[in-house]
Amino acid sequence: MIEFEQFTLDNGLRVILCPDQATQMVTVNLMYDVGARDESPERTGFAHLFEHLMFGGTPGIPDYDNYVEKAGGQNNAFTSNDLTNYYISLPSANLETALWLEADRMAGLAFTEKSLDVQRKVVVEEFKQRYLNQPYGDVYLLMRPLAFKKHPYQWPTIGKNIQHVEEASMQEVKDFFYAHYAPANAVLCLSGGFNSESAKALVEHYFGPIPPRDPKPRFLPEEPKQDSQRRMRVERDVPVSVLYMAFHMGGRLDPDYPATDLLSDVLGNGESSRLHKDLVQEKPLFSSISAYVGGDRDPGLFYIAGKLNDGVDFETAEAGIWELISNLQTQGVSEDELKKVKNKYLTNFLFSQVKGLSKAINLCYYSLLGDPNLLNETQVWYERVSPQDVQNMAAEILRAENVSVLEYAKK
Amino acid sequence: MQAPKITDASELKLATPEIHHLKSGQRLWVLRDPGLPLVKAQFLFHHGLVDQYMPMLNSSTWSNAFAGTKRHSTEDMALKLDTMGLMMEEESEVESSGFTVNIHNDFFGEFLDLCFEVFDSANFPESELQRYRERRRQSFLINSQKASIVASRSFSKAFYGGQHPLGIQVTPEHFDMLNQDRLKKHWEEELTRAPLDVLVSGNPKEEDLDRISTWMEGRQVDFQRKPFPERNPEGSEITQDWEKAMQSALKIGLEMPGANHPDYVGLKFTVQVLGGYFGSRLMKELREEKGYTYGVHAGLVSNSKLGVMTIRTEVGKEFREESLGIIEKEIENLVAHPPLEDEILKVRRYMQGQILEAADGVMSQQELWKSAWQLGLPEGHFENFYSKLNSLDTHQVLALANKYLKGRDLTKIIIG
Repeated sequence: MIEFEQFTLDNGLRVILCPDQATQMVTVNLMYDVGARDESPERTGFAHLFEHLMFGGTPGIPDYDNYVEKAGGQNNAFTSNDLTNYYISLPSANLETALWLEADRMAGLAFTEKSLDVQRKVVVEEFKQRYLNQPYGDVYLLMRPLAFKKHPYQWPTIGKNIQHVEEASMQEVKDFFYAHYAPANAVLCLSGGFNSESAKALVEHYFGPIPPRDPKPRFLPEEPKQDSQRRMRVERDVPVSVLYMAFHMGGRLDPDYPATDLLSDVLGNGESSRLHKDLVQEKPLFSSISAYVGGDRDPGLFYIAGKLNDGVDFETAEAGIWELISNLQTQGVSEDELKKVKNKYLTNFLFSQVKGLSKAINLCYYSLLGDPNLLNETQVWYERVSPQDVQNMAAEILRAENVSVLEYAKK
Repeated sequence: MQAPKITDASELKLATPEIHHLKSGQRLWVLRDPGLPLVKAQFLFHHGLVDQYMPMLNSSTWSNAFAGTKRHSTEDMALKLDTMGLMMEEESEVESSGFTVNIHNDFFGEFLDLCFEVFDSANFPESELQRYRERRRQSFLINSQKASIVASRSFSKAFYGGQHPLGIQVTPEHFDMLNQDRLKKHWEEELTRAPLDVLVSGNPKEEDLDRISTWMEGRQVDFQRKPFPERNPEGSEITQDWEKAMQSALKIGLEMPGANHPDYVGLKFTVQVLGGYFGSRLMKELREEKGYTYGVHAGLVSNSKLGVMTIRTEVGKEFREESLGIIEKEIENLVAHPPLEDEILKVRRYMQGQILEAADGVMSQQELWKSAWQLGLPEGHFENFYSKLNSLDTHQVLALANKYLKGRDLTKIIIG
């Protein structure tokens, strides 16, 4: 059970305090409710580019990192399809510096041409390093538009292509900031060694004066229900052929999310999982195979991905997966099998609460979903899942007309 | 608004582990946090990459140690381990090997039952080994298409020499050699005969700790370690052009003194100034000024024998010669000009913050104690390291840069 207190400033900023006197460190985590799903289809990769620009200085503080480092801090940020997150972990004595820095850049950026020019280039190099210059790097560039036809989950956070980032203009950058980087569109969490009363006063002092701004309302297109199987085959200069299958599933607050997550573990988490036992050990069609959920806030994707053994063709490999799914749908899972994956979930969950940073990120995330208390409730949601729930999800999600299949073939 | 006053970080407070000294120099380290329902345990044998006679032998043996015993088949073992909800990783390091397990403390006793059974009768089933070899071979082929990994491999060969256990290159034949007989022999005659350190943090039960001690006391320990092999470098510059690559991976390095040397703290500091953090000189020049790379990093790593300074980055292919020139110029600057006091202050505080972060919680501190033991560092090393950072000044950094970086031939690898 994670204990914390929460309050909201007059400008709409939600604040969570999670003190822990056992540590000499404090994490200041600021999560903005903006991600790649909020981008225009003509200007993708923008939320992520903007994450880079947030380190480009403000009128008052031209060098953000300089102060963080002088305060003994380490900082970083990440962008997903749903959110953008910034954090600083630093010695508790310098908590005030972190709050000063984050409040300053929430108030406004310097928007210099030099920063935009350099960060465009850096993001282009990141695009190359992670997506274009790596074996299998383009998988999600291919899979997302295959699976999503309307919803903006159809592009990854890096963007659809390099040109969108290369062509980003200063006016677009400014518009993006004022549309999304408002106090009422963010959650601040302090986790670690601090006194709640004085921390509260510091938060009020630094973030309180930021004028309220109305975040841009969100109107996301709903993804139409998929009614037939989609397929794509690509040939690449890779040493191993890989089969990817992506099924549509519910969003993060869907009541069936825990059962779906546990279904993915039953299928493909660990060496006693069904996919591994049946298709790696017994058949053997794959050298390795896994199943996992994307974890998106809106209805997202449930993935199965496996590396084919030499001499196995895609048709045979995929048929093996469908046969296994069919067995699961008709025979269900046992109490013991479900207990096994719940144990794994619980251990992972508890280890993720050990460090202040992951606690702070999780609390902010559940706050964006509606209530940070949800973090403490997730354990109960998972505990309540029954074998029948898992079987129901297998029947509902793992259907031929609900899947997008990508055959990533070696040349 | 006015900048808040930045203060020096408080003193480093490291929990002192309980160390149970057992026979043949073995130790059981315990770091307790009664508030955690978890246990992190590391079983680390004094047998590392420098002790194995062929590549991948230690990692393959540890990866398959829990694949079956006389009593339990591969399937039984997998089911038992998964049911405990644990996360286990093999550890294959330069001077030690073994595994780390993260587990709920309710299951730790049950895990130990299985663990002792494995040490007693692991049988490395050939059917599972066959699958393992194929996975590993595929992974090797995939990694061989990654410029950064090929650059690391080429660097190791050039720096240590192709016959050195840290420089030897994996070939297709090595995979075929990972068979049941070889792994079983290696397990029985070398790995499990080596002295052992077990490190446990979190909230283990007393009876579980007692069982580990008793088991360690009963072990037969008779593995004699050979001296750390001397390196025999094979050239200092390798460039491999990949026609289709969009980026080139650069890996540059230089031998440095090890962690026990009196200059080590100062050198670690000097390398940090060069490229060890986001605001470092290399990051400023290559990323924030030019936009040639997503990231560049310089670091100083050490084993008990020697240290190695490495610089690594991936840059747009069209920028690679210029990037290499910038790196060399920044090294020259470090040698020619003393850093400003302001930079010294920033790096000192940054490094102290890093150490505090690395010491945050018993499970993190376990990693510090592990490295202290592996490197043979004296008691109080981290406290001394932390306070010694306060005494470093701009003249010392300049002197160290001159002593260790001036006129030295760098090993330079460019791939892609």
